Amino acid sequence: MRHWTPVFFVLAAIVAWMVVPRLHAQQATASPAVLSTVERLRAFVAAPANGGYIAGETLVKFREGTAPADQSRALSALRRGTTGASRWIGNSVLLVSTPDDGDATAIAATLARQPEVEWAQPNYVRKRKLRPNDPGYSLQWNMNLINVPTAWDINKGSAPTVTVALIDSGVNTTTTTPTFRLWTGDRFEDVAIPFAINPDISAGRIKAGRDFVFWNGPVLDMDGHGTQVAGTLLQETNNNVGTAGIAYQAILLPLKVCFGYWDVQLLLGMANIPGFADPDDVGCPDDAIGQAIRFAADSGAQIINISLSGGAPAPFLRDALNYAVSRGAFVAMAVGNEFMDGNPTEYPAAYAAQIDGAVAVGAVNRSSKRAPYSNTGSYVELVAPGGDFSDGALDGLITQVGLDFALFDPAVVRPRFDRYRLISVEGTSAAAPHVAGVAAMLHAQGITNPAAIESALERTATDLGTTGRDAEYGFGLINARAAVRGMGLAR
Amino acid sequence: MLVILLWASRAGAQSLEVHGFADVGAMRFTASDSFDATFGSPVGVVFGGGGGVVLPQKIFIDARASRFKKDGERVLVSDGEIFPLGITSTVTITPFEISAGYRFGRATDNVRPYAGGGISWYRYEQTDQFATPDENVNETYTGFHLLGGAEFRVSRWLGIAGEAAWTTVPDGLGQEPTSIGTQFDETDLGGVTFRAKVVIGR
Repeated sequence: MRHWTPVFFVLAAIVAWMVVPRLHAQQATASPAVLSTVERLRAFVAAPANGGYIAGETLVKFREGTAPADQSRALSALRRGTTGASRWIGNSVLLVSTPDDGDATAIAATLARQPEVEWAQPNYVRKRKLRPNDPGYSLQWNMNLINVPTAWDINKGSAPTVTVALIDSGVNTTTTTPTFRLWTGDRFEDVAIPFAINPDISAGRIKAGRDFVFWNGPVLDMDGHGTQVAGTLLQETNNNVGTAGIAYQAILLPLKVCFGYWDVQLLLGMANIPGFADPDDVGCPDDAIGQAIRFAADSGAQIINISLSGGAPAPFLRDALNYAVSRGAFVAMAVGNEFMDGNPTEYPAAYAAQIDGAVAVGAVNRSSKRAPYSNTGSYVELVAPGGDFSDGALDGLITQVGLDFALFDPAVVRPRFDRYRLISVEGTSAAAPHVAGVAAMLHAQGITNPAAIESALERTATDLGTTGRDAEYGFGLINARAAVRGMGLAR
Repeated sequence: MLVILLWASRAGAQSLEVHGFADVGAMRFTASDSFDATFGSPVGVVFGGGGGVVLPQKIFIDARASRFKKDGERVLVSDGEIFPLGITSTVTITPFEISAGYRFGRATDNVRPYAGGGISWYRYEQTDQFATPDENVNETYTGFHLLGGAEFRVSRWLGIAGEAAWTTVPDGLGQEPTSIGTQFDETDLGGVTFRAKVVIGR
């Protein structure tokens, strides 16, 4: 005894300081005064970076019938004490203020262990999940299917530093009314044809781009395919107009490589060739696609979308893809819509399997099943929403603000490309821009290596079909939130 | 701890020694790649404290609580390259350890080496920016540790000690696809710690 009695008291004091909470005489029925507006506002603003709760605020519910003295005892378990700023919410829930200890998760855990307490939780700040106010957004089931809205909570639709090249039928890059020589049935006429920029894509986000097939003038879309794909990719979001796009802050580099019906008709007119074009005489030549891929890479595009495919191998395109990826561009490509027509291997998507940094994208419907038209094969790497009329009719399609035009006989209706409306489509063409859009978001977060973007998208995809990679779904359905959230130490 | 002290006081054994301590140390986590990816270093500072008794047979029993807390970032990993995503991830590890071992030498010696081992409970909390409550982590894992060190008596009631400890906490990491531990095939939450202790008592 004689040796350790004084030690005991010293140690007891030390241990008590370390282990036993310092007790504070605290009235559970605290003053209704709250933290000053500025302090609380700061804590509120800091909440997203602080675990999503207001630092130093914990909600605690005492068990029914708990006497004020017992409530005080429970609160005394907090080592750093509470303040008079605590206040009651209703009769049984106390908002406990601990300005000296911001770690509300620890405080809630401590309080929850007290026998007088029914539950305790940090004062979380609930975020309104960004649900765009675009009037057509309710039709865009595709966004929720791949968790785009919750990804937007982390990443606001990429960034203006990211350029996405769209290799397609073009988009209208200017509002203009050029005059073209046009066969109108029995003669040629000079016809003024109006074009207008999509009202749901800010003109400031559209680069001039380049036309590889029609003329050396401004890029114009006379087919609608490019405009539709661009919509999913990066249409304005939360602007009260039309529909939402995924990478709504990214910059668009439109590269026109396709002849649409009206491209051909106008070219016939300019060549003084009478007659009407066959609506089936449309397409996108390899020379234009290959040049555009290289042009995109040389122009600094970080992301390239190619919603085009065909059944013949094309080394020219393979080399261009390798070049683009080597220059730092990630490429998303549609796998094709020919499953029910023999499911041929489609190019250039088939090259993606050999290129780290390029992916081949198939389509799923709103039930997360492979769309009946979507090609399958060992080259399929990811799937994304592509729409499926057989699964929900029009509601099962992919809807964006698209060009409202018609393939009417110019003798009856003159073409115009200045009107837009909500247009619903299906196809792997609609699936690929989902992947390109999320890739643009990743790039904005600093994932600049195309192979790393592909790796991230594949690792975070939701596995569908046979466990692991398979010919129908590849690595699975792209998951935008999981991709932009990445990995943590334990979760 | 108070229970141990009270028990010791009532035991009344003449040679029973009681002590308390505070310590600070550096822990190199076994999951070094995972910690390096998250925090930029596989080493972290750990603060702790506790107390214990030394039985007449030179057997000591210690209880110790400590804490590691650090802000890092969520990342993506590709081909060994780390890409921080700009999303803050705060990890708090609160180990509670019970150790037993043997103290060499005599009570009057200025330097007394010791060695032992015990059981550890690691409370792991991970709170990420933008996370929903379901995405955050709050789990406790059980592990084991070995330790050894030497205590130098500065005065009758004050000593300083240097200590090394090895802890294994299996399956604390790498159990989910979104764990960096999964990426690096690292599942142990333990590590090797070197710490300096200030000891009050005997």
